[in-house]
Amino acid sequence: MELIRIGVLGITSAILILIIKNHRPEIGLQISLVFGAMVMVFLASRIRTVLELIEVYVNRANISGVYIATLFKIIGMAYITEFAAESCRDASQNAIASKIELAGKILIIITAMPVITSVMNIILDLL
Amino acid sequence: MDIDLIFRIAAVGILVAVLNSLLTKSGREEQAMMTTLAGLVVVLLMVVKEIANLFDTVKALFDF
Repeated sequence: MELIRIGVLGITSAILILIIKNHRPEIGLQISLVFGAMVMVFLASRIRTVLELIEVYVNRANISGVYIATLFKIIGMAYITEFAAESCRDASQNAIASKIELAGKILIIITAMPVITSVMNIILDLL
Repeated sequence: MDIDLIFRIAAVGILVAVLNSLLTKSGREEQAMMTTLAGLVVVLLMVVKEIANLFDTVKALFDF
């Protein structure tokens, strides 16, 4: 049911953008930004239920919480990076979009550093 | 999912476009520029509020 509303809203905002594009292109971009933000906010509440499900099974398998917290943080960072980069690409600013994506990748690697080091230690111990 | 936000922004955009062409036709270019900027600021306020809401939700959800 929600999907229908999102689809219809997307189509109407696309039409509205087309109307406004040739007069005021900057406001057209802002309509797509607002639509993107609203859909992402709506999806965030849905993703929460998925994350809680994962958390339940992680606790049952008693994996240490550090890895899961890092995983959630990385998902959040990817979420925001994708939103920002696509919005800039929508405004035909590909250079800015690629810079945002590069920053997102590097910051994600930095957040994943502890997990990588622990995995490396385990592997080195095996050898 | 407040749908009226998008229609409000579209309405402001169309209003500014019409006012702009009206003012330029009647020879007052600088006032046309002022209305454009005013409309842009109003729309920006709405957009920034919505994006701030998005970032707060993501931060709360993924416990940044």
